[in-house]
Amino acid sequence: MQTGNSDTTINRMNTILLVFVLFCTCTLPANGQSGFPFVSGDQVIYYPKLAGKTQSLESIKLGLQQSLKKVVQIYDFTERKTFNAKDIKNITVLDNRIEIDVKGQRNNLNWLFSNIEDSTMFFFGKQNAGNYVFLPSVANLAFNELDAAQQFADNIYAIQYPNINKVRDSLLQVFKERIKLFKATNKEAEVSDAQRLLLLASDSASRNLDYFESIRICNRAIQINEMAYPRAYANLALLYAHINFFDYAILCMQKYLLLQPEPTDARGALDKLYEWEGLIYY
Amino acid sequence: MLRFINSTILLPACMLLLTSCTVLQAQDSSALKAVAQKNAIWRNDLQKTKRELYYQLQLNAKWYEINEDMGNIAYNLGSPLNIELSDQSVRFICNNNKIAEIRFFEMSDYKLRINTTNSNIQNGMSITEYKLKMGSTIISVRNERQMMLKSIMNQLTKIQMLTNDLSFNMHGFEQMAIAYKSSPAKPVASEEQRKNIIQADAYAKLYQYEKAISLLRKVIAIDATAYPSAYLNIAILFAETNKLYSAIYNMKKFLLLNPNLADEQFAKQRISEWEIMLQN
Repeated sequence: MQTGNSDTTINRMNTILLVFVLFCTCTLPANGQSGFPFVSGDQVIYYPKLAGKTQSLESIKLGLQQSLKKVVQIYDFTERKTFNAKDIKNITVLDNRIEIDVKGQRNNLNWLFSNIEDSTMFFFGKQNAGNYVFLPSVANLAFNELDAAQQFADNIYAIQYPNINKVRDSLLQVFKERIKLFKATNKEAEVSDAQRLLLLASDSASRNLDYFESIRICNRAIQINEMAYPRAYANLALLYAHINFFDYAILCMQKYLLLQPEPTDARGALDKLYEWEGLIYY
Repeated sequence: MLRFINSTILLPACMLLLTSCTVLQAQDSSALKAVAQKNAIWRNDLQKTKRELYYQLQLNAKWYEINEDMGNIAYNLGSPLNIELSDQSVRFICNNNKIAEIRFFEMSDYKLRINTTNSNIQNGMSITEYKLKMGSTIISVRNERQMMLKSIMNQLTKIQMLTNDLSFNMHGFEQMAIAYKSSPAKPVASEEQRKNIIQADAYAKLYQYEKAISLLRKVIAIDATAYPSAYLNIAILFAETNKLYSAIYNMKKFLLLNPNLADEQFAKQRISEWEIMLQN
């Protein structure tokens, strides 16, 4: 039963990853440093942050309500329609969803938090073209003010975060089981030629500062044999951190530490985990 | 022969060991006593200076005016009608019950200096105004009352120094540093401290100095001597946020725990730079 749930989670994560990679591969080579907004072509990718270890639902709802007052355009994935601010009659943030009353719509738009919980949110700005929060398969929101977009993204992230932790734990649990099974076979994992080529290509892309492409190739390399080259997880973690996807970075670094329990750079790996855990808080 | 050795060497050796332990304990307790005594003297001195400041402000109340700085504008509250002194602050009660306050514990990083402004009035005369700013409260005097304001400033500076010495507990820290230097096994930073150090470093790189400072404060609170560089880092961050007194005190603490010559030179240079910045 548990394995079934984990598989569903993995499938969901893979879908999210695919969306993420598709989104990112369209972008130009870019430069970045973890923590700073990541500039990619004419886009600036920001990252949501948490206001504290625990946030009350009331404060999250208030934050969402305040930021949604400043939304200029929304795209609803269910209705497949774009609505401007002037079309929005009322926005209500409830305990489990955001309800939007729009002119000309018989039913209110409903964005259930449960649909957002497993998504990877993209929060980006375009030069002189507004700021966007993209919630895969739910909605896309445009804001004029960066602060409002940041406030909205932060509060959505506060809703997502407990689930992100749970998903990460379950993924790591599954990974642990796989490592156990692999070790039980007593086989020596070897890096295949195809995998080596992909790892080299990933390295080359990251040298060209094209981190998204590098991530995409590195993920493909890992998929060929996930036990063969533990260092790939550490590299992938660093790449994710470069573009401010700290949750993915933490997951990958933890996988690296599981796969290689006593690496020579364990201290460095742990320090990186501390750094990224710190950066997701205000 | 063995019995002789036992009685002549071993027994006196044990006695010597016992006496040295007692001496060490006595030294410890006497050091603590000395710290407590010095702190008590400072506290008395601080109370005395506060009272002197109060009398001076009370006596000269009609010669100076209180202004409240509200960012872009400063409101003139006029001369104070009454002055109240408490342990924490001195309060000026002005017209229409408007109150301005100087809080002593907020003074730790104020750069106390008198600013002069000249303005010409219609009949050709000029008025020189001297202003002393502490937080949002400004004390201003005109023309020949400059010396009075200077004397107020000197007393406030003394209060600031004494308050800082007490709040940074320099004497207590000196004793702690002696114990740290003499102990053969130096304390090591815990994992929790390391986490905070790494995160502080990350925030400092993102120019989020306040957050980095609060994390380094946590490091020091967990164990004051396990990571001496915390004092150096926090001092530099304080200097970046223009809190020069805090920067100097923390750098002095770092010097007390000083690990090596290169760092010592660096720290001393920074302290002298910050002292020059405070004087100008």
